[in-house]
Amino acid sequence: MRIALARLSTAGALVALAVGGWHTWSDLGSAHAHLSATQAANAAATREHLSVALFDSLRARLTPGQRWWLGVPAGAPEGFGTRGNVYRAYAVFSLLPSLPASSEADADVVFSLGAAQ
Amino acid sequence: MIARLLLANALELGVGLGVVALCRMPIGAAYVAGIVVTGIVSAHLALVHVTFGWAALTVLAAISLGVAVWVRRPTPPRWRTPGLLGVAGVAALCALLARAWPTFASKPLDDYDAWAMWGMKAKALTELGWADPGLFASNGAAELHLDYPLLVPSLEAVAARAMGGFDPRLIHLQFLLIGVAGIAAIHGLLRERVPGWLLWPCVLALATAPGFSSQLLTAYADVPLALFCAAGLLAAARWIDDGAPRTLAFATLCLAGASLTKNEGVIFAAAAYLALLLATRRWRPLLLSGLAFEAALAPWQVWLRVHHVHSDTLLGAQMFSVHRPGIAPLALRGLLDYALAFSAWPLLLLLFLVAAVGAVGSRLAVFAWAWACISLLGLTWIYVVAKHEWSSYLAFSGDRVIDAVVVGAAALTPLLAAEGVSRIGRS
Repeated sequence: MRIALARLSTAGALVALAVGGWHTWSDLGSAHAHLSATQAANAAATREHLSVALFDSLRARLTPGQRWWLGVPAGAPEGFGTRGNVYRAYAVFSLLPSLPASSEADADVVFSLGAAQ
Repeated sequence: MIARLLLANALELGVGLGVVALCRMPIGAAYVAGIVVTGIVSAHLALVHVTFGWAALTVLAAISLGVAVWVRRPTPPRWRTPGLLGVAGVAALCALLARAWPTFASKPLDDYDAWAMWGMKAKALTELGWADPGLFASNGAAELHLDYPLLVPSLEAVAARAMGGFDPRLIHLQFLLIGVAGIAAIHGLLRERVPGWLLWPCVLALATAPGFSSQLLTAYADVPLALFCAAGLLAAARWIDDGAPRTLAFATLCLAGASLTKNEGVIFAAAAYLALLLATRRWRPLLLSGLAFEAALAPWQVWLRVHHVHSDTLLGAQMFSVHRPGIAPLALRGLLDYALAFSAWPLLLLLFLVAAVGAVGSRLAVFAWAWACISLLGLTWIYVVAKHEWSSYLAFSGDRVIDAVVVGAAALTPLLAAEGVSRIGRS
């Protein structure tokens, strides 16, 4: 009985290998992205439908060491948050090494957006 | 840039060589041990404004290699000529690596948590040089899971510093290399105890599972967590047999690494300790191991407390704030659906169940069953106490949080099958 179960484990693993290997092999080939350096750098913004130009302009207004605050309406629900959360998250990522302020009052620079589209 | 990334990883392998020599573990586990130690040390140093770059990595590797030379094994490892299965297995893994490399090297960092959480922290550690509380404890970034530990972002930052900057594409190669290290560790920790005809099909089935490569490619921390956990489980399983403190020390290191990768790692580590206690009834060494485990986590926990970083995960104050007790069976079933998904993890959990039945009556089977069941119940509890609407939360995270259960179970499968075979005539 035990030897039969061990053989069944091996046979099952070979089936899993065949099925998984075939899928993984083809998936890895088709997932190969062909993006320019700029496209790759902006890939997160592109996927989230955020304006790259907007965040480039925010970055241009910051000098080293300044803390910023992004005022943006909540907008539509998105995932477990809102569209505004996505804007703020991307701002944190893309405006580094400039850091977000803990509050609007603590900020050196305040960016106000009319809407989170 | 890639050559410098590989050099940094070679140094991390060097770090691991000393660890496995000290713990008398197989050399195959050295790479993952080096990654875990580098991750823990760099993450903790980042909390006290120490940048972990080439110099620190070189010093750590030199110290560790010195230890490796100093701690001579009682019997030097004998070179065994690999059989046909071994040659075929290594060739298959190399082919898979060659296929994956250009895909990982060209993948943009566009999955949400990859850039918003893990990548943001890695980029910040790279550009700021440390875990500046102005970001890592800031209300302005509070929505970005600041309570999640820094091991993976620190490893990304070590890689980024080695490459000369944070490259949102090439950083995926570090995740692929963690995958290589994890598979090497699983093979290394099993090969002395499992015959090749059982070992290679199981290792290859895990390495080629679509869920393994597709989730590693997202640059999320779930697969690294699963691999550190699997290495810890295999070391723990070895300790059941040999009872050696060094073996348990290695398991402790890997489980601490898993818990410093994601908060959910604590569930799998706690499950491993409970399962070891059930299987061995040896509470004293496990208590000491638990204290060492806690000591490894303490700097991060103290830092969170000092900087008043709120935790919104299961392990926070709301651990017992049961919002929907009735959904537990539904959440458990949902998690099992993800674990059994043929498109992601073909047959792996079923094979674990078959092998565990074959090893029934052994301490190893008790350990494996207990770990898997406690882990699943712990993951289910996340959804019972979650504030979010549970089915959406499960749909959002269930396919990822289950990784450690599936990978850990798959790593234990050949060991259980070999245990079953070895018990023929004894039972």
